[in-house]
Amino acid sequence: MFFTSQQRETIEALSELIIPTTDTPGAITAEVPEFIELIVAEWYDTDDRERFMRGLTEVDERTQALAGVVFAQSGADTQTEILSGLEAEGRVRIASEEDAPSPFFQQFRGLVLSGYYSSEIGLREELLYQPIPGRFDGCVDVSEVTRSVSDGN
Amino acid sequence: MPRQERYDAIVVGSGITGGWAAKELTERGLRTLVLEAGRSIDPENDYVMTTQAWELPFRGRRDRIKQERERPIQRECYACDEWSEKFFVRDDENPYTTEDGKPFLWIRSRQVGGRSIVWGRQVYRLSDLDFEANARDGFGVDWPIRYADIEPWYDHVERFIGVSGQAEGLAQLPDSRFLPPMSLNCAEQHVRESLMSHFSGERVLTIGRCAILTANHGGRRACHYCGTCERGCTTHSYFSSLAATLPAAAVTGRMTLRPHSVVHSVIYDPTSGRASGVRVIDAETQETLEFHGRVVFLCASALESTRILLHSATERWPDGLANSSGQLGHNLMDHTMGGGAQGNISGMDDKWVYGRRPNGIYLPRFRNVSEQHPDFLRGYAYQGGGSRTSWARGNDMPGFGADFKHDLRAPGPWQFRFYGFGECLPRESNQVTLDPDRVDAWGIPVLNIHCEWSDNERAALNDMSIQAAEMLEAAGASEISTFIEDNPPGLTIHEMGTARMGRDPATSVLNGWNQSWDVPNLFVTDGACMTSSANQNPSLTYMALTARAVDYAVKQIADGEL
Ligand SMILES: Cc1cc2nc3c(=O)[nH]c(=O)nc-3n(C[C@H](O)[C@H](O)[C@H](O)COP(=O)(O)OP(=O)(O)OC[C@H]3O[C@@H](n4cnc5c(N)ncnc54)[C@H](O)[C@@H]3O)c2cc1C
Ligand code: SF4
Repeated sequence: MFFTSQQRETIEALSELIIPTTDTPGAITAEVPEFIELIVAEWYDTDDRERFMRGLTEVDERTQALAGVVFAQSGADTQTEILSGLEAEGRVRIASEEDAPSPFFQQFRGLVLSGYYSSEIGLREELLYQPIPGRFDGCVDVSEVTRSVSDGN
Repeated sequence: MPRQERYDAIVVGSGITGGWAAKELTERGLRTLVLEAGRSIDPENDYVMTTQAWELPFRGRRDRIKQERERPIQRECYACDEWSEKFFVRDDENPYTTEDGKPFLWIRSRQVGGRSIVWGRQVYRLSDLDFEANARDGFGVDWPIRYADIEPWYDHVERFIGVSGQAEGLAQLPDSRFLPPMSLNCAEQHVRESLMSHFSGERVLTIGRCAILTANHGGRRACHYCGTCERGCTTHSYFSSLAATLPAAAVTGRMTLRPHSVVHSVIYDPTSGRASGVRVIDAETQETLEFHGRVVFLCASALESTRILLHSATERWPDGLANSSGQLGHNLMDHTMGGGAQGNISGMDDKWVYGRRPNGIYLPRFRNVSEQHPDFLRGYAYQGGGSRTSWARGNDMPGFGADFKHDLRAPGPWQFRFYGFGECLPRESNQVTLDPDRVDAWGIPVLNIHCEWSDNERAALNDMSIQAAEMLEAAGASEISTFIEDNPPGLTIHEMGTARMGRDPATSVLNGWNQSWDVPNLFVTDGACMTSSANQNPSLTYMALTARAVDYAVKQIADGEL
């Protein structure tokens, strides 16, 4: 176990906010938080890990300042406001500093996306699961294949 | 006294060329021993084509720390991923050295099947534009053969491996014997048509020519378009030596395939002036063995075959066996890659593809075909293609939440990318030598590799990116961006040369039959033999030269010459 239970709750709330449950399951059901824990603990190098942990702490600090509670405990509006703020700041930084490491929102969202779209739920329920297409046709109507097929299977 | 065994022929390596040598030798009646340094591969257990991303610990992201430790060089190859890394060598067991600041990335497989298990399957013929290139501009020595010499052997190889593609009738890229082509997608068809009219037929975008079956062929099944070939294909739909040539050799009953057999050196018999066999280190027991044969075919991949020869120095040839020319190890080449451009193709939002095509487009060489370009010699070709962006575009989009998720479900805009591969001039200064200070896991001296691009390669890379953008513009693309990647030599994995063919024993290692000038029963038929690099993916040419050399060797034996 790499994260504390408070960190884990923050990660769960952030993940589900980015990929929520809709007509298909969201990030938590797809075990994206567990994937994030693995990557941060066992894949990231020290720089990426420190950047991630600083960003995570800042999410709770900002929410405390704004609403007096930690992120996971705050209401939906507060959560959206915090996340939107982080995203906008991140976008400004990306635009102004070329080659800088991605800001926390973008770093976190990248993990959620790669975790979700490599999970069984992401690949079988959200996207079109097509392990053996059997033929290739280079130009069909979109109505025949309404969902993205992941090339990673 | 090491244990000894006798065969008619010995083949070193079981990859793309070794498989062909084995098939052709055994089918012509020779009892053949195939010595392979690596382990056996069992498709049922070793191929991972049905493994899903969610079944892997890092979901296909690779085990970064493990790769840094075991495969710091191999991991630079796109195909050495979490599924397929086991098909690449461990760098810690197979070291080589380079000078600081002059990297060469040597991407290898050591297993029965060699790199044919993970290769990109693109196959293109060379033409006389290529075979005459050295003679025309004076770089390197003249090829001892022309297109007419190899044409029947291209036919022979293609009939067996199965090549899908579209005949275009271009002199600089002769058509193969094709199975039905895979289709271009809508964006590619649009770009093809735009270029045809804009460049009046001089720039022809065609579907990639690949050794993948689009119809059942020779007992192997047609591709089912799963799209993940590098994980191994249990239906044997793409050509590998494991799926095709080695089984054909086995059927004759005349092949003995010995894995875990690291060839240490060729044994030279000064009395007969011939190679009497090879010395082998058993990779599992470390035991030294000797095997004898009438002819020896080196098919260990370009640099490994040259390494074996360098390490087989004798009193007569202190700088490496069969090296009276002094050219052994010299004239190393690879292709450049990564000049290009990409852009968005608008319209066609209601169109998409069905299935995952394991193949892209090809745009054959158009530079220095009829007119000489002022900045560089030789040419380049593009691969690449059109596609609609996936969920990954979410990383560059604003937003999160339900709408964001829903947007990513559908395919994104059409994009098109031209990615160039360029010819490399043969230069004596690009060379491999034995490093006196370092040995591999089996105690054999490793290579020191010295290879640098020249201004000619850089100028062509630059032109690749300019022309790619111009073509995208002609096709009406928007948001066009160009790139020139700084890839070190080796990474294109078309390393070749170092035992070149030629017309003159004073300046070449092999004659026009891939036969050593110095040691007549010794043949080198992998990429080491290449006199120039052309810009086409080279393995088809290696296969054709191998089959041709075997035919010659067997006739020489029948005539009592060998
Ligand atoms: C990811 C990838 C994509 C590629 N895509 C393409 C493509 O699209 N088109 C193309 O034309 N080429 C492509 N290539 C290159 C292609 O794989 C090689 O050109 C081809 O495999 C060379 O054939 P070979 O027989 O010389 O060597 P290999 O196939 O590498 O086989 C050599 C064999 O010799 C064995 N060996 C080495 N040393 C010894 C020794 N001392 N004793 C005994 N055995 C030994 C090795 O273990 C190996 O099995 C690609 C390569 C890679 C890795
Ligand atoms: S795409 Fe075709 S050739 Fe490639 S692994 Fe799948 S079935 Fe085999």
